[in-house]
Amino acid sequence: MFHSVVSWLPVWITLLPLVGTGLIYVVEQRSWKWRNGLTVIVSALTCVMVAAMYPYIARGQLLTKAFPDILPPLGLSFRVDPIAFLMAAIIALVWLAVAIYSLAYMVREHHKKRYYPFLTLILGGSLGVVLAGDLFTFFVFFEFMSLASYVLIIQEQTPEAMKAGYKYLIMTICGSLLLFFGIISVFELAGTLTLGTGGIIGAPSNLALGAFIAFVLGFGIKAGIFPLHVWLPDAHPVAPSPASALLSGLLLKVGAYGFLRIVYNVYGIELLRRTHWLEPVVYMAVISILLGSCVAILQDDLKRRLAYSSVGQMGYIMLGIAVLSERALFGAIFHIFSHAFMKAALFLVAGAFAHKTGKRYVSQLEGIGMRMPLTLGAFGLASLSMVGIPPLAGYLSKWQLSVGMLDVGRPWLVVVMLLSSLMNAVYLFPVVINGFFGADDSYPEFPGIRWENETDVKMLVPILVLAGAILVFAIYPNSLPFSLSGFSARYLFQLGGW
Amino acid sequence: MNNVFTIVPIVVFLAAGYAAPIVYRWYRRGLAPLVLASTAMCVVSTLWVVLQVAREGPQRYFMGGWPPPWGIEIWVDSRAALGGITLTVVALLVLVYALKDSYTELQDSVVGRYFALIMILLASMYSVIVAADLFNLFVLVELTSLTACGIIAVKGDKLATEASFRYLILGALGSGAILMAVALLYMVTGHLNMALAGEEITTAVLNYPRVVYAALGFLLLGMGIKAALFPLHLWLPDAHSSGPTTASALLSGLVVKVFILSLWRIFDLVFGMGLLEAVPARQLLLALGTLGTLAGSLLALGQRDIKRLLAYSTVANIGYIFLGLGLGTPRALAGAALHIIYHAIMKSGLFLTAGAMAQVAGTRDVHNFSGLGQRLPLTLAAFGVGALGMVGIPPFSGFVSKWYLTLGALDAGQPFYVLVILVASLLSGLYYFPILISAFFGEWSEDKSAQEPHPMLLGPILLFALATVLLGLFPGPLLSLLGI
Repeated sequence: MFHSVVSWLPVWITLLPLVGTGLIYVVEQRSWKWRNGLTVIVSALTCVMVAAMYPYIARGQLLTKAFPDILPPLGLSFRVDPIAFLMAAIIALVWLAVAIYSLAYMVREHHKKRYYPFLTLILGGSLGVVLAGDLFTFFVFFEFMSLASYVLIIQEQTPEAMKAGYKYLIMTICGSLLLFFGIISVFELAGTLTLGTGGIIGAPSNLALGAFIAFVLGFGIKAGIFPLHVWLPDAHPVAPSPASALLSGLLLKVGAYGFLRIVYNVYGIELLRRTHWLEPVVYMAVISILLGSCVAILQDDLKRRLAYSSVGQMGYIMLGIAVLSERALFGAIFHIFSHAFMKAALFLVAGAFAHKTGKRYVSQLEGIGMRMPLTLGAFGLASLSMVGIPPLAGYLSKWQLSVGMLDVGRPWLVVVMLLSSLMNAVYLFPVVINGFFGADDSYPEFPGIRWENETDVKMLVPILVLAGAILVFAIYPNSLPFSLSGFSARYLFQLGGW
Repeated sequence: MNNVFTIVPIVVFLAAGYAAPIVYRWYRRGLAPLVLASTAMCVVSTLWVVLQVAREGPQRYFMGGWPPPWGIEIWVDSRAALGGITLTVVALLVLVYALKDSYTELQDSVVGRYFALIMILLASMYSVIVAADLFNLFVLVELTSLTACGIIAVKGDKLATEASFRYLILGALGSGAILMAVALLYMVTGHLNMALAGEEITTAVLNYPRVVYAALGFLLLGMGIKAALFPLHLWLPDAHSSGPTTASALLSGLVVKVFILSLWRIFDLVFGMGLLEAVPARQLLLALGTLGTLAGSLLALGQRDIKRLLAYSTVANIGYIFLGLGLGTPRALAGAALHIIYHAIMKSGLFLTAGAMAQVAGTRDVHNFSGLGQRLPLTLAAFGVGALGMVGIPPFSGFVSKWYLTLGALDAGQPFYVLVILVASLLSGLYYFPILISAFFGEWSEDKSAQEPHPMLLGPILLFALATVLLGLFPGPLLSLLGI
């Protein structure tokens, strides 16, 4: 009885934001205060419901629910295993922080009536993607999420935003069509699309290879992997900062998550080890890591710099998925968590700078630490974590990734990661160093924390919470995300025997 | 055996057609009740037939009580039943729209005649779907073509007259070809009833193979012209875009589909699948379907006139359906049948929506729809739903048919056609999305006033959008009726 209520949770989690969107739209016609409140409430309730699934996941139970009558003959289905739960938890938490941040940030922006409903809509879509029990459901929500994200990208409606948005839209449609091809081929080959086993495709064939290439390209576009990342550096900076935080912090990961499912649940480790189909992905990831970091150094626009950095960081995650080692996968999954929090925090800080001072460029940010020490402090913490300084979260994920690379006997990949860490430091530390030690004419000496100069509290709290999480979850290494990542990696590697 | 409900729509539509101009002349306010009540009656009776087909299998009716080979047979299988219900429901919604819109688009004096033509067109389309007799079919095809020309020409301007004239000429060519095919088949089989002709066809092929193949060729040519199979589509863009909005909706949504359904029926009943394997008919359909899909999509990309754009998109979608027919695997055929239904609903809805948008914007140029979505959110949302359905985004209708068509292509071991369908989807995204983007996120010039259309226009538009969503989410009944 109780279990039957709980097995509905993934459905409610997906449905609540979707229904909430309608409510928000209706309410905002009357009052923006209620609208703001409702947005946060929907987000928070979703968080609570995700958390409510934890006891079951911790006990090793799966939550499943199928609706064969919707979109037959395949029907929609939901299935929550450890990795799905972890993804949902990351999405729900970061989303809540961003929703709260948006309330203050968006005050001066226009088209707010569009922003909040879509913010909530995409939350529902992305939760649907990660909680999907089969590839078909996954695809339905993925498409939904991708198309709705377009609205966040073009929020500002400037010509460059429209241009970036159009690029995003075209690439997204191409990506979805590729995924469609992949999924339909898998269905043709396997007769099923479930995501519960360690591989549903029995033997390699031309169609299987074609579908695999389609999946790599389709998810590669979403995840922003070289050479499919071209939409990303345009689209992420033009969105409002909270939206960039979501796009870079979460929605990219959904692409990586899809790829992870394809590798471990659809094709299976055995098949991919035998066929070496993942080798090109390893190289694509390596190029993404190096290129993303390199180009990030050259950017003066802070948000563009962060966007390129995301290309590099997504490379880590894809690399961890593609080398087929349990510890590398562990690292990749944990990096999904840590990068989501780090990058969201960084984008929110960039937004806070722009919101308070109107400065978007790194060269303008000298001495910003005099005015906004807490904000810049959070940026510094996230930067240290990005570079991989112990004991922060980024360090833990890089450690696991590197150990995983060594496990499969590829030390040169560790070198790539170290090189990229160095470059991460080159593009992130100057912001922090110049910010704290650069000259600011009005404040020759550090004046202490002055609240009138500091970011609005509603924006500061989410930033500090996200940055704090990077520290807290890393200092207690057996904390929830860390152990869950390990758990998920083990689960994906030992499907069936678990 | 004799199910009288199968011919109710024919009788009722015809009667209403002849009554419409008279009623319009003498008691103008009686037109709406007449048209709507008769169409509603047809909806109910086709619905009843659908239920009976689902329960008991195909239904028949012998005209005048004479069984074949003497009498004319009406035969409603599951595909015809679905076609019939689609036809009557789409017609009902379009007619509601027409009852408001015709007074603005047409001169008052021709409105009565316009409705007469529509009702006769509906009667003949329905009978084409259910006809099981070759000569009877020819007569009805001719009637359909003539009335279809009529509802374009009724607008009376130069463009519409020219387009309908071209349609008439090409349609006459098509009718001639179909008549030749019917005559040849009658010559070698001795029957006009499709099922009986089908029984004789195997011996006929052995004795007169060339005659049978010539009949097949003529049939493909004639039906190809009428159904706008590439490259015989040349009449379509003008014909479908120059008439009144409601005429475009009926032409693009229903008329072309009716010919495909009847071609399909002749394939099934007369020629049989074995014969189609013997000649490269399949390959021809596949090649032309591919070309039509790609050419239609590419040409639609270049259009600025929204109605022409939708018309070219119809050429592409006809290509989809012929692809499904050409692939011939059960799932591809199911996809083709589904796409006939879905495209009828989506395209009719899109044409009606486009008509409403064009009326508000004062032009059919898509560049002038910028910002329209902020003023007419409901109308543009309906357009968005239709467009997403056409692109094949889940969970909207077009996705389901695309799913089956592509699965069918894989079943046939021809992934190339999956590629064709996906490229066409991408192209359709490329021509629909810019319209939506500029409508929702563009700037509306403040000096123009704009408000949602009249409820009699908005209602059908929204119902079409709703149908696009619901049939996409719950295609279960359709699938079970089609036997998949």
